[in-house]
Amino acid sequence: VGSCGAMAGTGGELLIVEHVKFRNSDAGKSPIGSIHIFKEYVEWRDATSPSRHKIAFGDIKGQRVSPPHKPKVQLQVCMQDDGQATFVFLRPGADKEALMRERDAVKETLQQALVAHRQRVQQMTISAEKGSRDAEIEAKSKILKQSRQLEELYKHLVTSKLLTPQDFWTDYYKTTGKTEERTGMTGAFLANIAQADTNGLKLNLNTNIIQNIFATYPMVERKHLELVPHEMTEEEFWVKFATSHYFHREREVLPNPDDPFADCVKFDEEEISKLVNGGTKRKRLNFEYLSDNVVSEINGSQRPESSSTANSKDKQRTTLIRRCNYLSERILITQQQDNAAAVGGAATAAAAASSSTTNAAGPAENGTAAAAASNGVNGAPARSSGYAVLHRWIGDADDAMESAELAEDETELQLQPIKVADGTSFVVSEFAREDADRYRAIVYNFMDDVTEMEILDPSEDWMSASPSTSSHNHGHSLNGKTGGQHGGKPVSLDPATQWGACTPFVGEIRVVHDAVNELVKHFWTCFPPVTPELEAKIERMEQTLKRYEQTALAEAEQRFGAQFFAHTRDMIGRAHARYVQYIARRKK
Amino acid sequence: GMSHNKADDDDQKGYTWEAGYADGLNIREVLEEDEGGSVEKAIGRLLADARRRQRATEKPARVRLGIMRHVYVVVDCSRFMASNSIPPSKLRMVLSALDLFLDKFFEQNPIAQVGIILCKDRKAERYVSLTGNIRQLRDSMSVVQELQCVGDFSLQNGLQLALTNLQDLPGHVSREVIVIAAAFSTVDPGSIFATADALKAANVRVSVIGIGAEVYVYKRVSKITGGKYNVAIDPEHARLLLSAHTVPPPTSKSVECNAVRVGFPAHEEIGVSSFCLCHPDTGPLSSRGFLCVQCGARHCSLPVECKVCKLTLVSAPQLARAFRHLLPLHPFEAHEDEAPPTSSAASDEMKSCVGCCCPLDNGSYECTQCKSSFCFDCDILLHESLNICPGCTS
Repeated sequence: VGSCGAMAGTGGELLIVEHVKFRNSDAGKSPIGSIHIFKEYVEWRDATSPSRHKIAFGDIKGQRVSPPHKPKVQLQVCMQDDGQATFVFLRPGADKEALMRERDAVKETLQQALVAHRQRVQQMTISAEKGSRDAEIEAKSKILKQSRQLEELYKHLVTSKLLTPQDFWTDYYKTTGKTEERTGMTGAFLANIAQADTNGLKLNLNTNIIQNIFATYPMVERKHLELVPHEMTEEEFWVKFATSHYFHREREVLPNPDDPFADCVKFDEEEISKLVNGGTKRKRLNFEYLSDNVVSEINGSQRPESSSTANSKDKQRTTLIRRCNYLSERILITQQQDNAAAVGGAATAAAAASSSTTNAAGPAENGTAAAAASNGVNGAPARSSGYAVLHRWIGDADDAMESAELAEDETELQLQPIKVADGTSFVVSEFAREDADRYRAIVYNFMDDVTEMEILDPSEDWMSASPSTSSHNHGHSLNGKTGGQHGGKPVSLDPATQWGACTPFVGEIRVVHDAVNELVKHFWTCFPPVTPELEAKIERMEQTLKRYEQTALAEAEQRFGAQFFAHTRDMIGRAHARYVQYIARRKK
Repeated sequence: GMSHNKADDDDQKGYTWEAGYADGLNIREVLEEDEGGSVEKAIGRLLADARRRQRATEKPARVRLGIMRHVYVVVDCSRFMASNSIPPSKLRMVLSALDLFLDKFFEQNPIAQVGIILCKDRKAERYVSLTGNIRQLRDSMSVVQELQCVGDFSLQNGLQLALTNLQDLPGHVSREVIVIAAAFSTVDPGSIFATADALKAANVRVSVIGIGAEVYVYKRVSKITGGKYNVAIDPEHARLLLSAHTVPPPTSKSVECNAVRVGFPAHEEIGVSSFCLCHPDTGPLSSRGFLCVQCGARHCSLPVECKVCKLTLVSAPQLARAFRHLLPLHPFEAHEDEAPPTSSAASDEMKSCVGCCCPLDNGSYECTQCKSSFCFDCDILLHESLNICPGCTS
């Protein structure tokens, strides 16, 4: 590139090429200047005047070059709006070959910059759509909308500042533990893409499969970014892909020069060679010393075309095996990258475990993407040579003396003995005469008197305002249920327990009861107070409960009647007692 | 990668080791075909063997057990479960076995909790959170359909979800996962063995019940975490294997053994106006209930974990039932297909079962201590539910 006079600039340009004429579609004369390629746009600057022509990458549809037999060496940038900008390469003293090299350098650089730019744009749209912060707020309002009870609780406690939103949401909004949605890739995703039909070819593709293809074969993603939608439609791209020599590669023939995926083959073969040269290292076995090591025969050193004795069927098979092995390794590498990205900086136990199983002695060798992605959390470089990823996961524990597969199936259960006194039995074999009679009577009474209908009295409906009409039934069912235990005596019923009979305000009263439960719950979660935060929360909740008693609870008692809040008073009272105990203990 | 198999269509000779391997498996003996070519009898025999083995295994006595069990059942809902090779579908079979299991499980482990995770289309979702409410579990499972079984099975996602839900529980709780899987492969986003190590570190024991064939990764994961791996070959076998999990497992050394606070509220007439925590929409079903001994919240039934203060509330008989496993009933001696051992005096009389008085004409089981003989059904009842020998206690 240096010899063509093109160079990277100091202003952040990726490439600058001089002696380039800009053929404007309308202007009469075409001035000579230089092309500057930046990260987000390409600019042509006039050598003699200050005029510049800037083209943003977002506006570029594609590029075209002049055919080799034409005298002029040109590059044309096609715009989204169908406009064009043509550049002619006119370095004095350079022959056509050199000019073409210059022009191709510009095309390459621009192409790569365009691809990178489009990738960035894609990333941004994806993350913008996710908008995690808003998603949380949306999810929370949805939760409140779905449950009136929660909504009431929220209004009652959070809006009146009795409970912080944080405290409230710890129990009701959880992002983890509901689903696990990261999905893996199966090696079979390529198999179902193309099906030969009577009318031709049927393609099965969806976003997931496309993502898989891109992740496993980054060259294809590059091609996609380059070609779609500028040179061909999405559909055309995939048809070309499915019919390409690259995709099928059953026979070792030279690819059609029109095939856009021709260079993908070369790239893959290079990658495969890198992998193969890395070799596989097993801890306890070394296959390299075997003379009939079929694995190395297939993978590498003896390539099918170099072996004169191999017939075409063998070559086909070995090609297929190489491709399958490469696919497996690519999938595993991609997973590793995903893992590393997902784990990020947080040192979770899982990450530590995976990095410790991947850590191995041996220098990282040049080569696969695994090296870049799988630095363990503790910073130690992971093994990256050869079929390292596949090998690593099947590996045995370091301290195993024998292969896990050959080990005995049964392992000794580790049992912790406990002291249970001899003669302990869970069976009482002897009952006193009267006890025995009493138990017998209970069982018989129970079997005779009680049916399910009587236990669950449908008229005992708490939420209805109408008074219960069946105090008679109620008494009877009580009778039946208690049966022998109280000797059949009916228990007098406190009318206050029949909500329906006593007040039409059950709903409002319930809200107060729920609020008290919630506040008291937060109080009890602080025990045992093992951290300063919990101790602070105890104080906070104690104050909150006091405040609640004096304000909302007192108000409710006034409005509806104190008898309906005796239970809540009791619960708050117990919390206070516990608090007093806690303070007393702390003073010691 | 694939192995270069020389025994393909143009090369008839196999490796000698292949023939030796096939011989060692004893395939012909294990799955013997009868005259019609069917292996049903062989399978029946395998089943009977399995049952016998399970019955005869001495359960360890006076050993620390995980009594407060929190179990997540991970059910495979991939397309493989819709297969009708076990009619009407593998899913139906699993659901009905699970239903029976839940009944038995809560009977034997009254203070335990169970949750359900479903795995479909390479993802996992928590279908039912840990709960002691068996009705909720059974109702939820009854609506799972074959139509929902799509995609591939992800063991890692299922286990990771279970781990997330189990790892914050108090240390003394027995954390268990039972995976029921028909898939012969798993499609995971990361390393399954890393998850297995994390589970082991968190003291989660993963057991797997496969359906159809043995799968290496299930075997390995259950081995790493200290669980059991079995493969069910037909519906009855599946029920048998699941029922083995109703017994609380011995705890490993690394599990904390603290004293656990438990409340024993009385079943009382509650005079004061109050709402219960178990019926948020209606209200207490009766005027009798339980008040939490710590915080005073009201509950309608036991056992329960108080939602307000997290104290475990049980009744003494329920706890006693849970602890019965510490002194399990020893296995009886089997006298199958023969006349029961008779004392000289009653040599001509047909002996009858001490438990239910039915005639013991096709096999009996004899208690080694008191020499009472029981029939097959009584043997099961005594060992799986009652845990006592009536002969010894009378």
